[in-house]
Amino acid sequence: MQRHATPRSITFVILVATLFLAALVSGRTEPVALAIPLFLALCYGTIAGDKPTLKVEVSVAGDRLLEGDDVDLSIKVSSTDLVPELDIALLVPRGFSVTSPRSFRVRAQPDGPQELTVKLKAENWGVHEAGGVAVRAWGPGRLVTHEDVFPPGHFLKVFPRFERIVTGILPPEPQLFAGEYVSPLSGSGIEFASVREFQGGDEIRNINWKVSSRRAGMYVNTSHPERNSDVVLFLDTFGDHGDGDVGGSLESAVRGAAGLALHHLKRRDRVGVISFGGVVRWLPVSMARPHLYRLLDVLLDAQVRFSFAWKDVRLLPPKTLPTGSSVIAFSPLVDKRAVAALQNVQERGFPLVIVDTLAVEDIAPLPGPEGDLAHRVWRLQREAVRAEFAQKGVPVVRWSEEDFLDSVLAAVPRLPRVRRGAGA
Amino acid sequence: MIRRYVGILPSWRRVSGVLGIASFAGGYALSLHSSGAVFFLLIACGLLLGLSLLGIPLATFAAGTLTAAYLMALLRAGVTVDAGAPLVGVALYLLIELLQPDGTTPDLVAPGAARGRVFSVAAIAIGGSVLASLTLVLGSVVRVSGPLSVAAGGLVAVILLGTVLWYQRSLLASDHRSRQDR
Repeated sequence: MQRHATPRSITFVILVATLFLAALVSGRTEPVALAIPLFLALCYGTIAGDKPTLKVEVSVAGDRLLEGDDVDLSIKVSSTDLVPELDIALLVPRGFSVTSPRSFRVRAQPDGPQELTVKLKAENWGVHEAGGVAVRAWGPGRLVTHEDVFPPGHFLKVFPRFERIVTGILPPEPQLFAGEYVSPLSGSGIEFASVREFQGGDEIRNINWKVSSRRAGMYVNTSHPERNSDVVLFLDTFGDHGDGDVGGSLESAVRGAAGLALHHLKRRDRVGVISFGGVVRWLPVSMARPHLYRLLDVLLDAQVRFSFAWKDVRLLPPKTLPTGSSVIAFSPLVDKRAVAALQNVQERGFPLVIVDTLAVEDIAPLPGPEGDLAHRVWRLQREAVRAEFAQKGVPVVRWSEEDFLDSVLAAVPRLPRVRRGAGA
Repeated sequence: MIRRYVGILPSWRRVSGVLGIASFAGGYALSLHSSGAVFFLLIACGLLLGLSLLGIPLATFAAGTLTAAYLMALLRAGVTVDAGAPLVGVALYLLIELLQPDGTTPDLVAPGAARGRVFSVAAIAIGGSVLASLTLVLGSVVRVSGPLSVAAGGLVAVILLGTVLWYQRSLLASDHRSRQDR
C-alpha cells in the first residue's frame, strides 16, 4: 500500500513553518505557542500511522448472465490490525452500471472480515473483467493515508439479448438426422407422401387397405420424413459501422446470430459459426444445448481486430462448411474481403442469405459538396454489390434495430436447392 | 462553481463549531487592538471560512488570515507576553480540524471512528495548550536576544520540522521500494 500525505498534513506543515518564521522575525514566543498544537498533531499523525495489512477478496454470484441482468458482487475485507477508517470503492467494470452504493467506509477489525455487497447491472454484452477494488486507510488524525488498488480477477460473460425468431429461414434441402423439416424424399414420418405397391420389409401398419381392396395387390402409404438441416452463421467482423450510441453493425450481427443459433438449435438443426474478420474464428456444425454455449463464446469474442491481410474462406476446414448447409451471413457489405468471401460461398453452391446490418442513414456524409458526392458514390457502390448478389439469386435483406429480425427473414423467399457437387 | 459545492454542505454542528471558534479568536484579536488592518483580515477570514465550508479547499488561507489578524493585533497592542496565545493556538488547531472535508461522501461514517477522532483531537488540544503555556513561561523567563537567539530558534525549527519531513519521506520511499519489488 502506498502512503500519501493528506491536504490536512500539508496545511499543518505550511502553518507551522510560517509561524516559526514569524516567531523568528518578530522575536516573540506567541507564534511558537500557536504552532505547538499543530506540530503535536503533525508528529502524532505521521509517526503513529502504520501501514495496515489488508486482504481483499471479491466473489461474484454467477459469471454468465444476459444483458440487463443484475449480479451481486461481494467484497470481503480482512485486516490483521485495527483500521478505524477504511474507504473501499469498487471499480465498476466497463459494460456495467451500478444500482447500489459502490463506496463504503468501514472499521476494519482483526477479529473478523467485513463483507460488503455491490449490485451491478449488465448493460453491454461481451466478456468483462470485474472485481477491481480501491482501498484507502486513513491514519490517525487523517494526516496520512495508505492507498492501494486490488486488480480485477473475475471474467463475467454477458450474453446478448436474443432476437426472438419464430419462423427463421427454411432450408432448401434437409440433412440426414431427424429434425423438424419435411423432407421431399419418402421415408417414415408424419406427412403423407404417396401410395405405392407393397415391397418386402414394409410395415403392416402402413398398408392402405382402401386402395389395396380396390386393386389386385397390396399398397402401402409412404410419408415424408422429418429431417434437420445444417446452418452456418457467417459474421463479418472486419468493421463495426454505425451510430456508436445505439449500437453498430457488429452488435446487430452478434444479436441476430445468437437469436438464430438458439432458434435452429431448438429445431434440432446443426449450427456452426464463422467469425470472419481480422482474426478468423470458426466452430463446426453441431447440435444440442452445450453447443449453444460454445457458439455464444465465439460470438462474444467477435471483435473488430484491424488487419491488412487478405482472408479467404477456402482456407477454412471443410467441416466448417459441410455440403448442403445453408449460410446466413450478417455483413455490412463494406469490406471487399467479406464481399469476396460471400461471393466465393455462393459460387461454391451453398444456399446463401445476406442480412445487411448497416443502416446507411446512420452514416453521415463528410461536410462539404465533396463529402456529399463521396457519400452518394459510396451508396451507389453498395447498391451495386447488393444488385450483383440479387442477380445471382442471393437474397439480401436490410435489417435495422427498429425491425424484428424474424419479420425481415420472413420476407426471404425459399432458398434454391444445393447444386450437385457443392462444397468442393 | 458554487453549484458544484452546495450539494456537500457540512452538518450544522460543524458549521456552528467553525463559527464559534472563529468568533472567539476574532473577538480576542479585536479586544487586543481593533485597527482597520485587523478588521480587514478578519473579514477576509470570514469569506474564506464560508468558501471552505462549501468544500472549496481554502482552509489553509482561512487559518492563515485569522493567525495574521491575531499577530497584527498583538504587535499593535505592544503586549510583552500574551497569556491567551495557547488558547488561540488550540482554537486555530480546532478550526482547521473542523474545516477539513470528511472524505469521499458526506454520509459515509465509519462506526466508532468519530469517537476515536474526538478523543485524539481533545488529547492533542489539551497537550498542546499545556506545552504552549510552558513555552510562553520559558519565553518570558529566559530572555535571550540577538543573533544567537535567532540562530538557535531557526536551528530548532529546522531540526524539528526536518525530522518530521525526513521521517515522512523515508516511509514513502520504503513503500515505493516494496511496491516495485512486488
